[in-house]
Amino acid sequence: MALSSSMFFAFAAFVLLLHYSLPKKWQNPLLLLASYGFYIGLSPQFAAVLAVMTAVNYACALWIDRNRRRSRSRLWAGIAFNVAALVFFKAGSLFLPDLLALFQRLGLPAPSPGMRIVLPVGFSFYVLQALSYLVDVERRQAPACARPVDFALYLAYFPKLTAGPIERAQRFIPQLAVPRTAGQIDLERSAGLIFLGLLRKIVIADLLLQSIPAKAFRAPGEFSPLELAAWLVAYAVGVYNDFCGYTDLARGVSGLFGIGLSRNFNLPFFSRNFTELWNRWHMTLCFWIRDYVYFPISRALVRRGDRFGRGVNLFLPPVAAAMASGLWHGFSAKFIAWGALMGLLLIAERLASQLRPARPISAIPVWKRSLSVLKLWLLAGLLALLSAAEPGPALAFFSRLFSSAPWRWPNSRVFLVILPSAWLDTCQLRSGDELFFLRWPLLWRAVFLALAGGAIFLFSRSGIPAPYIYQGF
Amino acid sequence: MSPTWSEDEIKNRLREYLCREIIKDEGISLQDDDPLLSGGLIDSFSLVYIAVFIEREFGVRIPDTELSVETMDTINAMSARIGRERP
Repeated sequence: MALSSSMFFAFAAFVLLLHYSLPKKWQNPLLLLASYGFYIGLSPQFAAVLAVMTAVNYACALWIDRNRRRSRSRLWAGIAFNVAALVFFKAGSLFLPDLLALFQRLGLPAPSPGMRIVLPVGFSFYVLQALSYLVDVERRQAPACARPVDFALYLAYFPKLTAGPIERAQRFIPQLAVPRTAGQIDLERSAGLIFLGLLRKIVIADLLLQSIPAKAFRAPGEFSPLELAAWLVAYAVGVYNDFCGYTDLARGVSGLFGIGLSRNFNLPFFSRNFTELWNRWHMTLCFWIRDYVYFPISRALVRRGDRFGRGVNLFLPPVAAAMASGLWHGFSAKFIAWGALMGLLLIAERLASQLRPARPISAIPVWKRSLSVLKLWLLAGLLALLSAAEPGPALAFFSRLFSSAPWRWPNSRVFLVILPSAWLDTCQLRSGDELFFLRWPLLWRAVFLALAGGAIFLFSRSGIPAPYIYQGF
Repeated sequence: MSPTWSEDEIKNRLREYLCREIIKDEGISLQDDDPLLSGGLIDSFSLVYIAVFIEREFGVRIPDTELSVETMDTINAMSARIGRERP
């Protein structure tokens, strides 16, 4: 059940009706029940894994909180459990043949040879929420949640279950403690986010991603450099709208239940460098990695106060953070290459920033800023490409892109679809509000909603919406 | 933290450190409410240096999860965060 499907909206509307009809004390149990119902609809096994992860992490946080003298070792036990589960589901299929052979050698009853390890949808997202919760409880930055329903809902809440945003317990759980009434909902903003999410997903992302020929990344030699450049930009903009659209939808639906979710994108295509892109793209993941991987390593090195610490700090934290991000996306050569490249780019920027004084954005000429953005787009395209193809074809793609092969003009439909995305982002930047159209005069707002609504209706009739890319992680 | 630090002293020490060590331009005129992170003068990876400086200088430990634009975007915001730990 994709978030942009009519079935999901019927499900959410039914739960919403019950949510505001039932007594307040039943709101959280109802949301938990609905969330598990939603997940069981995807797979009962996924729901069973979630229930086990919830029970273990709930108990572990109380265990950490109970004895402060042993809290650190108990935290490490909790981290080991979650990381082992993540590695098992992400990389288990790589080791499965060896495992089956081992069972055979030891004469143990071997599992069926056709057995597969399937990564539960949303697992990579909710396991990070569980990890940050344990760390924050140990650091006394979040209380151990005594109410099992609230904690279970923190991991299972259906609008964010399949692909985030990755919430922090300190922000999410307190929202469950207050009863929510229909009168408190910001209906305009929630509906606006749902509308924007559908527009980005159905009208922009699906069209863009479908317009890229399947062979573009596998056999780039069949295309001209100009076509490849167009597919590269189309892919980066398509992935952005797919995921940003998903997050807007999730936030909008959640807003109707009176629960705020975090923003995941802040106009990433206006970043001037990779360090800034890191703060604007999939923000809840990047901030998680920054707070729980980068900062602790960097702080330990800076605290040494010597040249060794300062030197190592230039490269170890960026590499660790980028590799953590790569491995979170997948245990494969392409994501390791992706992480390594991202780490190298971050190091290059850190080194460059050590050599010259910083200047405020306003003091940099516009042409220079535009060049930085162009350079970033090219590199972002390379990163996006690496996430889509194995390193070999990705390198072949880039050598063809910069070759002197005859130029052939790409299908102009790609540019027609990129334009609305660029227009949306520019409006959001100029207005300073992601829901810029809510500030417009009534007539303009009505025209925009009618045109965009018509496009959503038209394209949603063309078939089943494509699954969200990030649900695959 | 040492109770001898006044708010102005905290801000001046922060300004001095930021200009010399982070921005690397001692001639720059940095106001208390100049946006540092959102204005592009410092990046998020420099926040650790500032946090360790605050820890050593004023005895206030700012947790990793608070090293963000909300707490660290201006000298005023940093000074207010340090002030929260005062007795």
